[in-house]
Amino acid sequence: MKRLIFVFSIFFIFGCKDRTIDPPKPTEKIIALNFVVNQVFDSLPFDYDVRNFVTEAGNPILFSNLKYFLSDFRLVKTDGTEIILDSSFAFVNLKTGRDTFSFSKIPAGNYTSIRFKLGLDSSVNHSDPNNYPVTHPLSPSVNQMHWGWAGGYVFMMLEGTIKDSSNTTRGYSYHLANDENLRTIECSMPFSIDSTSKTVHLEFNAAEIFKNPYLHNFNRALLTTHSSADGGLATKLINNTTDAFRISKID
Amino acid sequence: MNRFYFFLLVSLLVGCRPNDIKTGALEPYSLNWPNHFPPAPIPSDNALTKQGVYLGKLLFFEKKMSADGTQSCASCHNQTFGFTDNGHPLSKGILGLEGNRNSMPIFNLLLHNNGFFWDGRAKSLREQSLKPIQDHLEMNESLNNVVQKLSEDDYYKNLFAAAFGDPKITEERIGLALEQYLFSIVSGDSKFDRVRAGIDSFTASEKRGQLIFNTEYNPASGKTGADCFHCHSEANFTNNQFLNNGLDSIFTDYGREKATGKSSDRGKFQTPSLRNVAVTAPYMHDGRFKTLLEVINHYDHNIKESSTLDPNMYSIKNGIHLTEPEKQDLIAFLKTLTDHTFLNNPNYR
Repeated sequence: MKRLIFVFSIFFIFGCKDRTIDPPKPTEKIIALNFVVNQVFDSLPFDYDVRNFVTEAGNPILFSNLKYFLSDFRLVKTDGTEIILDSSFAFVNLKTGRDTFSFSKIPAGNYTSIRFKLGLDSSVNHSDPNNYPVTHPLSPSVNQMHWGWAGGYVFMMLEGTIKDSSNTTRGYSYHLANDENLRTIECSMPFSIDSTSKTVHLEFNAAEIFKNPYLHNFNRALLTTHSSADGGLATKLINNTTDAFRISKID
Repeated sequence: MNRFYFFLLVSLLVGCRPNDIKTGALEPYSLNWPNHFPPAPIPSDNALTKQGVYLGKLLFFEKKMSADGTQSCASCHNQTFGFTDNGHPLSKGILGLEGNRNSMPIFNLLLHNNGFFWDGRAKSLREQSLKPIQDHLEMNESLNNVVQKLSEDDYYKNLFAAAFGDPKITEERIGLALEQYLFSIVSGDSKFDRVRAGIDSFTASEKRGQLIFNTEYNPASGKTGADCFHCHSEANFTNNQFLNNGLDSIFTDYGREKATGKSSDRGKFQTPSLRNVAVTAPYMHDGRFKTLLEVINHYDHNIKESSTLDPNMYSIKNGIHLTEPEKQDLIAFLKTLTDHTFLNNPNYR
């Protein structure tokens, strides 16, 4: 089984820029759709471990961690039908330079948007993490996003510090997880695939986690959630995050 | 006569020396890797062989690695103590000077994917394993001298020939052989592992301790555990990260910052595995805590604030308020991570 998953991973898992694919037949050209993720905090470039940002509710915030799983990528055609790229997923962690992933064998056509999920579907979420080699994106050694004891992955992890209303530094630790918090995200951007590979520049605005529709004020909210018994905080933050992604360009 | 004593010593230390070492016929080393661990990521350029692991083991116990021939790697990495230094907070090198950091345990190093040493300054184990030889506070010897000393010994020439195809002894080959031996040391047969496999069961106290270990501290949601699992996560009870766990507000040892040059890494050290933790006292990078109870008391109510304090530590800096019986339960659980098969495994000596 481990061997099967390993082989599977070679073909389907990304995150490494030079992933191996089937050697193309001489006449067949492989068209790839490459993704590069960039992060911002509203109009500011995002960075870790710096206190540059202020949330919508006025909380000065520092991120020591921000990482997430994306999965189930689909291309939406102009007639509304979907092309399911494959059953892959991406683990994104810009702190460690993990900002790219790609799909191959993209059919030619005209597309209006890209759909994907923030999180992992139930079967992957509850798979045994020890089946994955320690270099695999789903290996807890790579992502530190798995609950060893209870099973299941954290979909999005954000940790850091804020300054509270009395200017005291306080830590926050939000581990957004659970099957019911899997969300579909759609980013519109008309594009066509013909005979060349393209790169999708996906931008994630971290400021959105704390606003729209739920205004998150660290001075009043829990500073820790592991997505259970938190008064719905994890769900509210995840719901905010569904409009945090946009495609800045496709070239 | 010296040669005789050397062989005697080697035989005593090693126990099971292969009778004839053939060059050119490398035999794969059969690694006893637990099924419930992630697949072992053995480096493609240094596959474990019987000859390589055996040579690495001899080098690990070889006192010629030190300038005055009084210390080997094993001097400060004693298997009985999970390959730590016999209960010493800091280790003394051949000059009688103390090093700066607590001797780290050795097992399951194949699962370490984020650098070696407390500050992660060595990217690979082959790189790491050559540093203590040269460190002036440890074995204080040059690699040139080590190569020279080993090259004068026909026995070692044969062993290098067996492991690498020709008798040439180089720094690189010493590192590769040590890496093979160190990678061969595995711990995955503790009571915890046997309970996990369904062939043993926890006592009531161990079970309560496991719950405390695995429960977050979040009184607003009615949860009051010790939240250890966040950083000390399976399979090796570490997340391999460099974190500031609140030991100090003012740092005498800058930790990870020394390796990266980033002030945001100040006071961060690698999260150690908790496997065999009951036999690897004292604790922390400087060995400041003598007992598991002292460690638990640190997390319970002694977190010190600083700019790089881990967010998960911030959230418990006002204390997690474990009761004394809860602390004892937690210790009982931690003791289930002791692996006597590993501690007594004759293959490692």
